Formats: sequence, structure tokens, C-alpha cells
Amino acid sequence: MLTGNGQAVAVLGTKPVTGLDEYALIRQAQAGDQYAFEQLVQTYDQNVLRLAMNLLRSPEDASDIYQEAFLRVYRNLHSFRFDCSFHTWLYRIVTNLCLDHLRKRKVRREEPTVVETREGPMDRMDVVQEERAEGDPARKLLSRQLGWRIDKVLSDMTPRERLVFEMRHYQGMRLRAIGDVLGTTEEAAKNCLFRATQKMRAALGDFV
Amino acid sequence: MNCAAIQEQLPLMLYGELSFEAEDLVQRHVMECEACRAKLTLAKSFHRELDLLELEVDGALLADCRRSLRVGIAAIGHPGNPVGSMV
Repeated sequence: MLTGNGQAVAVLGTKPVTGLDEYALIRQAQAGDQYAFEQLVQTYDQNVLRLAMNLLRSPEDASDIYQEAFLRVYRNLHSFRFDCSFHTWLYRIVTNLCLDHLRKRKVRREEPTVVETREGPMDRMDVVQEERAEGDPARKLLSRQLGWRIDKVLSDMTPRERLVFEMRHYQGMRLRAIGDVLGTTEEAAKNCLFRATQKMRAALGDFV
Repeated sequence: MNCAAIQEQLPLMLYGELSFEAEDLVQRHVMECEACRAKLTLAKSFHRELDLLELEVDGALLADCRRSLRVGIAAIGHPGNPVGSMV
């Protein structure tokens, strides 16, 4: 869970994790406490997976990003010096991995969500959208068309525009926090968000 | 500021990302301008609809990820120590 300024107020079960608790958790994890590390992971991992899932639109790729990100955190936690929040540090790792993935995908012009089935090529994300359509044929068609349009608009965005949009709209992070994560200014993040929303609106305005 | 400039600011205002002064300027303009008020209503509706496009994370996927991570960590051991010295 994020506050308005993008800082984490995480929830472990029903108990909120405050900044002080988090500091203690990080210290314990740095000292080799496996349980503390796991608690730290579970504070953030749902949002990390959600971010990767929405950016890459592939459960397999999202899962790979999750693994790589948290293994990097595990390997490098001893070097975390509290110069920034843990959330910012973690999201730097995650967003760098996602950017690399999106760049490679752009080079390969890969469409990873499309898989071959007995009925021909099928977009796995259509299945997700269609499940929401609950079997209504008209809604199913609309949902499928919407899925294509979303894929199109996402592929028209730069990786950074996608990241900024996902982090602002779906993760609720403030532009200042997004700028910190991406190593840029709040103004540059604002410009990215502006371009992303313009593209979304141009592509989906008549749909949603 | 003319209508086009105001309308460009609407998405940022909905994200609460305008400065106090800029938001005040937009709000005052919108109160007096019917065209921009209509655009704001549309922008709010679009903003809400975008929420529905978010892919949700499956609980089983999250559980799988956590399981695989435990395995990966066990293979690494304690960072800096020989493999398998932890867990």
C-alpha cells in the first residue's frame, strides 16, 4: 500500500508496517534473518508483481522480473545504506529490469502474449479480459477489441512512458517519487505522464 | 491561459500533480467555461475507466513466485557465504 507521496505503508496480514518497523526488518535481514527478509519481500511483492504484470502483460515475464528483482535485493541488501527509502531502492531495481525487458522486446518486435493454440493464435491477455466479460458475446467481442487497442497503445508508448503511467495511475506513486526511482526530475516524469495519457486518450477515448 | 492550455492540464489535475496556483487557475477557469467543464467531466470518466483496464495479479501466481524465490534464495545461501550455508 502506498501513501499519497509514494512511500510505503505496507500491510503484513492485518498489521501495518511503519517506517520504524521497516528499518528494523531491513537491519535484521541484513544480519541474515531469513524471516525478516521474507516479511520485507511480502511487504512489497504484490505491488511489484502487479507492476511487472501490467507493464509486460505476460504472467511468465512478470514472474521472471519478480524472481530477478528480489534475488538482486537479497544479494545486495548488505550494501543498502538507507540513502533513499527501501521502496525507492527496490523500485529502481524493478524498473531497470522492466525497462531492459521492454527495450529487448521492442528490438525483437516480440508479441509475447500471443500463443499458438489448436484454434489458432490466441492472446493470453484476451482470456484475462474475457473472463471479466462473463460470457456475454457482445461484451466478449468488445473486450477482445479493447484488448487489441490496449496492446496497440502500449506498443506506441516508449518504455519510460509506460513505466511512468503504470506507477502513477495504478501504483498511486507521486511524480516526485517516480522521478527518484527513474533517476530523473519530477518535471520529466510529468512530461512522460502527459504524453502517455494523451496517447491513451487518443487510442481509447471512444472505447472507455 | 486559453481553453487548449487548460484542457492539457486536466489529466495532471486529476492526478493531483498540479501546483496549488496552477490547480486554482484551472479550477477557476473550469467554473466559468462550459466547454472546459464538459472536458473535465469526460476526463474524470476516462480516468475512472482506465482503472478497469488494470490486470489483476492472480493469488496463485503470487504464491508460485514466493515459492520459487525461496528456492532461489536457498540456492544462493547467505550473500557472501558459501552456497547452502543458509536456511
